[in-house]
Amino acid sequence: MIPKSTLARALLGTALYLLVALAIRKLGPSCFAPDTVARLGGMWIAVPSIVIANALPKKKMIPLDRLASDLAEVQALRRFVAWALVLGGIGFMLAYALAPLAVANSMATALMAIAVIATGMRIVWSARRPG
Amino acid sequence: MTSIFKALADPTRRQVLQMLQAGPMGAGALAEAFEVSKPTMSAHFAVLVAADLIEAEKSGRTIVYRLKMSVLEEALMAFAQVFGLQVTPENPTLPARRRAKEKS
Repeated sequence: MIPKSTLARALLGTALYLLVALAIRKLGPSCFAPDTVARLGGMWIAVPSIVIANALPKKKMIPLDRLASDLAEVQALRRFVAWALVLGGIGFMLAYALAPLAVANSMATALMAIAVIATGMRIVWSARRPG
Repeated sequence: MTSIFKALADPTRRQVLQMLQAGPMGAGALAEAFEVSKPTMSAHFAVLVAADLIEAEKSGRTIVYRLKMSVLEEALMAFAQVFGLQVTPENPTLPARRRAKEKS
């Protein structure tokens, strides 16, 4: 059932993601309260970040690997980026799930921005590191 | 998923994974850190490779192991470490009868 080709799996995953997003937007209002639909929609935004970042250390070759020549540093960089983006994604999701809806978007964006900035800083630090 | 839980259930294997968090290491260097026989260590490595938690790479005459854990797997390992989970026998290469003999 699950295609073997990486491209086919990626396309299938993207299609499923968009389908669920569409379902939340179109069918959500008839099943849930407007607040719940807004929360579900927000939480769904964080899913790709969590799923992709979670698998990052398992990937064979990623562009990050070119930033350092030392294998230990490459691994440390991959782990940092993965953890930062997964935690950022979880923070984003939790903000939409638990924070008052009026501030949920700002809070979620701020949490994700912190993760992205930390990732960027770690990448720059790794690229400038001698050796 | 079962293979991951099986791999993470053993404290020696968790220790191997923790050592590999610092960077890739040779099989010999890893084995030296433990007071177990080489076949036992090889069995532990095999379980970790089968669970896709580490990757073996041949470098000359030595085998270098590299960590290949997702964030979720690392979190599971930390969880198992905190709660001291141990569900597998201490020496996975020995048959059960011999293990019982060794213990007595």
